[in-house]
This record gives sequence, C-alpha cells and structure tokens, in this order.
Amino acid sequence: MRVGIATVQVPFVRGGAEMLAENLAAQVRAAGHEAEIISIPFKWYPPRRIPEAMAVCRLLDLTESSGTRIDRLIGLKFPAYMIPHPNKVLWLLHQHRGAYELWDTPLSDLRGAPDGQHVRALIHGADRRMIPEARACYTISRTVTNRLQEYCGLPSTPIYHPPPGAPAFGALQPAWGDFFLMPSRINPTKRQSLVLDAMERTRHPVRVVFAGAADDTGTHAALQAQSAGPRLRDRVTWLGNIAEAEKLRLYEGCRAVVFPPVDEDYGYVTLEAMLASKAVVTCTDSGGPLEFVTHGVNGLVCDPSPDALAQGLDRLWEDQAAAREYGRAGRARYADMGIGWEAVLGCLLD
Amino acid sequence: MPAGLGPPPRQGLRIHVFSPLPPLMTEIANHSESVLAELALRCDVTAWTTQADATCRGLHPGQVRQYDPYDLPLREMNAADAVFYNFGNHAGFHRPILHAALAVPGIAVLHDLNMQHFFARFALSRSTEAAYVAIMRRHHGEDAAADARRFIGHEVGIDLMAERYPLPLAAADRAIAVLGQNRGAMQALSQQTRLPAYFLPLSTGFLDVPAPARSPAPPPYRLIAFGFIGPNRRLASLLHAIAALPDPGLFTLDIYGAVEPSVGVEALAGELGLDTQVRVHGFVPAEVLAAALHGAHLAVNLRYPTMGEASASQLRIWAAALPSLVTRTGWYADLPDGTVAFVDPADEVADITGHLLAFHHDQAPYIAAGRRGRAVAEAEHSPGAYADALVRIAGDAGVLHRRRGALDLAGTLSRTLGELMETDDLRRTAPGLARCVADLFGPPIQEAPASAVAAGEFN
Repeated sequence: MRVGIATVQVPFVRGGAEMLAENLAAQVRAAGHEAEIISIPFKWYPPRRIPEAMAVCRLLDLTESSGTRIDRLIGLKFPAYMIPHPNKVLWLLHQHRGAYELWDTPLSDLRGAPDGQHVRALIHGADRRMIPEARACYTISRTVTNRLQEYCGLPSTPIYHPPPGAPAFGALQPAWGDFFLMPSRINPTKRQSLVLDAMERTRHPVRVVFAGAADDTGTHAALQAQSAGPRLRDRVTWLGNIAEAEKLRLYEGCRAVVFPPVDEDYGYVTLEAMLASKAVVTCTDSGGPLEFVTHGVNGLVCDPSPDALAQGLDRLWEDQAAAREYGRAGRARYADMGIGWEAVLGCLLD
Repeated sequence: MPAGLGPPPRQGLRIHVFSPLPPLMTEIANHSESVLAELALRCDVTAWTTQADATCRGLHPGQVRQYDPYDLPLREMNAADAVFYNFGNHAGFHRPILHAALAVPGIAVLHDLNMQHFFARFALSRSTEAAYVAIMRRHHGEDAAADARRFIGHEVGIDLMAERYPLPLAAADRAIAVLGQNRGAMQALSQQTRLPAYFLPLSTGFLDVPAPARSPAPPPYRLIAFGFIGPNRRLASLLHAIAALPDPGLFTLDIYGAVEPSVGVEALAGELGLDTQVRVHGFVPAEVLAAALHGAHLAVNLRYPTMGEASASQLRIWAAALPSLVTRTGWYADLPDGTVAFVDPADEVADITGHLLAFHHDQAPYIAAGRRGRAVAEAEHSPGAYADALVRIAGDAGVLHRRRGALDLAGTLSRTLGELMETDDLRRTAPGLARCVADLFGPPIQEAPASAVAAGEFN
C-alpha cells in the first residue's frame, strides 16, 4: 500500500507533531508499506492567510503521484486534513486551537486579531464540512476527541501511540535526584511561566531544569527575565534544545517531571516520564496528561495556580519516596495500557 | 440598577452595535437609541461609541462602551456573534466606525447611500489622499480615480463628485452584509454587490408618546421645517410659495436645526416681506422640538435632489400625526398613498402654493393624512420590529461570514491565477476553483439565509 501522511509544518519550528509524522511513516514502512510525509508550509497570521492555506490544501490532488495511485491518505493537522482523497483517514493531532478551545483565552491567535471572528467562523464551517469527508476519523487522544464532539458535534475515536524513542526511555535506570525536569518547547501554552510563579512560592529551594527550544524569542526573553530575580536565579536552568542522549540522562536523574500545559492535545512528556518511571506533576486543565496521570497514584494533579503547583513541587521535593512510588506506578500503568503502534496501524490502514 | 431600566440583559446571542448616540444631535443617534433599547430585551447587546458623554435610554451603563478607533478592543469585538456598524455621511460621527468595521467584519447599516461626502474627507489630508484615490478606483474605476486627483487639486467640486461617484458600498469593504432602509435603493444596490443586501424599514423611537388629537385650526397656520437644512430642502421655493399666496399672512414658518448659510433663508424672507412670519430657532432640546411638532399644523419636508435615503424626519412627523408636504422623489415617492401630500419637483412653487391654499380651504384631508402616517409608522417603523429583524440577521452571521469568506477566497484565487495565466486558460480553470471555494465555505451565491424572509433580502 502507498500511504501519504498529510500534515503542515511551520518552517524552522519542530515539535511533537513533526516527530509523530516521522514515527508514523517509519512504522508504516516497517509494516511493509510505502510511506511519504507530505508537508504543507503553514502560516497562520494575519488571519486572512488561514482561508488561503485551506484553499491551497483543497486544491491539491494526492489521488496519485507519478502515475501511481496513492492508496491511503492519513490527515494529521489543520488544514492538511482538508486535502481531498477517496481513501482518506484522519488521525487528528488537533484542529486550529485558537478557533476552538483557546478562543476564550489569551492564547488564541484569532481572538485579538483583525478578522478573528470572521476567520473563526470560516474554520468552524469548513471543519464541519471537511472532516466527515474522511472514511474514518481518529484522534491522538480523548482530549482531542472530546473537543471535536463539543465544538463540531463530530464523533471520533482516540488511539494512543508510543512517544518517539520509547524503548530507550523504558531502558533507563532511574535515580530520583534533586531537580525537576520540564522538557518541552518554550511556548505560552506550555506554561513555563506558571512553573516559575510556583517556584517563587515553594517552601523548599526547588530546582527546575527547562529543556526545549523557544518558539518565539519574546516569550523566551520574558521567561529568562522572570527567572533572573534573586529567588530563582540559582534554581532555574535553561538548556534550550538538547540532544536526545542528554534528554534521556535528564529523565533518568530527575526527581519528577513537571508538565502543566494548557489543555495539551496528548503530550509525549507524560508518556516519556511514565516509561522513565518518573512521577508527573500536572494541572487540572492540562488536557492530555490527565488521560494518564491519576492524582496520588502516578503523579500529582494540581489546580493551575502558582500556590497549588508550589505545594505539589514541595511535596515531591520533601518526599523522595513518594516520587519513587509514583514513578514506578506510572511505569506499570503504561504497560497496562497496551500502548503500541500495532493498534494505531490497525486502525489507520484498515 | 438605574431607575426605569428593565431586567438585566438576556444571555445568549451577543450583538454589538457601533453608532453615534445621544446627546449627539443626529437622527442616527436617535434611531440607534430606540433600537438598542429593544435589542436589550432580546439579546446580550453592547453599544460602542467614541463619545465620552454617550447616553442610551434602556441600556445599563456597562452596556455602553467607549472605544479608541486607533486601539480597537479586538478581543471584545471578536466576542460578538454579530456586529452592526451604522454609517451616515457625517465623517466626524462615522469615521471611527469605519476603522472598526475594517478590522472586524460585520453588517454595514447604510443610512446614507451617497457616501461621497464622507470619503471626500480623506482627500483633505496628505496622509490619506492616496487612500481616497484608491477607494474611488476600487468602487468606480479609473475615471473616478482621475477625478479624485482633480478633486484633491481643487479642479472639481464636491457636488460633481457626489453626483458621479456616490460610493454607496465603500463603507462595506469588509462587511459580511449590507442593510438599508430604502427598498428600491437596496434592490438596486443588490445588483452592484455580491454581498447579501437587506432592506429594513427605518424605525423611529418617537412612537411612545401619543400623537395629539388634531382638528381644523384657525389661521395663522404654523408650518414647520427641521433638521440639517441645505439648498436641497427647498426652503427658498417654500418662501416664494407663501409670498405668492393671496394672503401671505395665513402662514408662519418655524425652522429648527442647522441652516446652511448658502440657503440665505432670513435674507430671502426679508426680500419677500415675510420676515415677521419666519423664525429660525437653531438646534433646540428634543422636548422643545417635540412640542413644536405637536403644535404645528403642517410640516414641510421637501428634498430635491435626494440620494434616496429613508427620512427619519418624516417618521418623526408621522409620530406626531402631523400632515406633511414631501417631494415626489426617492424614498418619499414610494410612501403609502394618503399619508403625505406630494410636491412635484418640476412644478415646485405652484404645487406648494396649491397645497397651502387647499389646506386653508379644507384641513380635514391633510389631518387625515397625518393620522394615516402615524398608523403606518406604528405598523412598519417600530423599533421593536427593527430589533427583531436585526436579531434574525445576527442569527445568520455564521452563514454570512462563510459567504464573505467564499467571495474573498474566490477573489484571491482569481487574482493570483490571473497573474499566472491568460484569460482563456483562467476560464477553463475557474470551475475547479469554484468547486474548491464551494467545498470549503459553500458557494459564494446561494439561497438566502432565513433572516431574509423577515428582513427583505435581495441577494
């Protein structure tokens, strides 16, 4: 089978979505098929660019390539999932979040922009028309499925998949050292600033290592300024983009992982932490992580306030045994959930 | 809660209205005030204005918001399900509204269909004259752009520009629909745009006061004219008609509002020996004008030429059940039979004279016309009915946004491909493009949304 994987990419920005597409392609090939990632450049601003990007996708013909049929198209991201194909299956990472669950938050790209409401209406209308075009609609998480139902009234089925490099995380020899790890792109939706706010309020000198590249320089600069104050200066480490080996070393040595994003779609960080036998500290509004983390079992689920998050950090800082116990429970839970690529391919290539 | 206000606004549909508001002395402000009060009973409404002193009966203070056109509150504006922008020809009142309308697409309510005077203000500044030329080119073509440059160079006057280039849709450049109050004019306008064009009868907020019971009165009869009075209000013809009467002393004339100096009304009255019968009052408080209307015997509400807009003044005259003379032209020409007395612009002075004499001989038909006018105003021009229609249109905002999106996208695609290929090739490509647009947003032109039934939609 020739399988096209349709996605979009913001040039020079790399994150979980790109890794997912690459892993999916690798798994499809490993299963004996041909696979190609078909990536459309995407620019979401000003908002008037968005309908044009939708049209660009809509005008593509991926029914065949060089005279040979493309048997299956797997749509991953907005608006690439609008590319027409007679055998299209969606595995939605997310819709255009600024038009949906982020609309009422400061994080929406559309809400405060000229034409914002207009383009939002266009996205809503087109999603309701285009998504049902696929022969099946899957999502990467229950969180994404719930949103699709809530905002568009469309049914879908979540299928979980392992994070990239899952075996390596599973092979780590965990120690529970004296720092928390937040391995994530630096972006307002990931809420590094909330972690800094919480660190200002902890009773203990909690240390946090932030690893990951910044999506924009403004956010990064603001965070660095925030962490330069006397209370945080010696407790915060910014590593930026790091190599995979370095990331594994950090997972292996950290006390626990802190990951409090806003309504995350899925969140490899959670799964990586579970594989590495590390507790996860997350928030009640963090979305995807809540599908895996149970408060007091394999991590802590805090209110999304600096005070509540500070309490969570303090608790695992002063109780290494609890961090260890939660980490081991997370590892066991991952195994119980049977997360693997076989189930994913079984659905997407059916 | 301020005294006299109803229950708190209903939750649900969120409607934003941009408009001049009282105490500005404009009929659009009066109109909006009464409509906003009715909207507040039907939905979650916010009135936006640049006025620091705005007041709006029927709205809670929090529902009247001030905005800076150069720092628009986009997050709040985008929260509305539908935004209505009221446009008139007064640049001072409506230019901030244009700023908002270009940033957040909504429904353009066109109180004036000749907007040349409004946009000509752009020609007065070096920083905006290029924008004026561009607007003229976009809406009326290269000849208009050339005339715009001549206008900037003071080679032609505003009257010529207004006559040739009315720019009726220039304020709707980013609109999702247009709405006007003249059925015939909106029907004609619908042929010039692919946007949905709605017709809604203008409403008046002066119906909550009972009309006086009118009966034949002895002379001298009190004539009244009011509003922004330029040469097209034909006061010169009226004065000549009074002077031509066998007994000019049968009538007095009270004039309220702003009279352009070029009309020269007081000088002409002096020349015609009518100076003791004609009084120019200027702008007066609303209650003073209301009392004057109630005490008058015949209103003179002539327009020639007219751009065809609905007359808020006429509705106010009807609300007072006051007989009136109007010119048989534009919006006035279609007024229901027996509600006004018509003046033919081709035989103006003679017609006016004839009506004045007829009124003197038998007031009953005129009084009956005033009463019928009041009945028509109550039946067709109530703020409640107007607000009902706005709510229905707002309910269709999603469809209207998609239609606008389809039009924009079709335009972008055709422009882009027009750069790449010859016309014949483009023609062959067009069906594929049209399919793409229709897939995403629906066809640019499709069946009218449900609100059209109530509001009267032409596209």
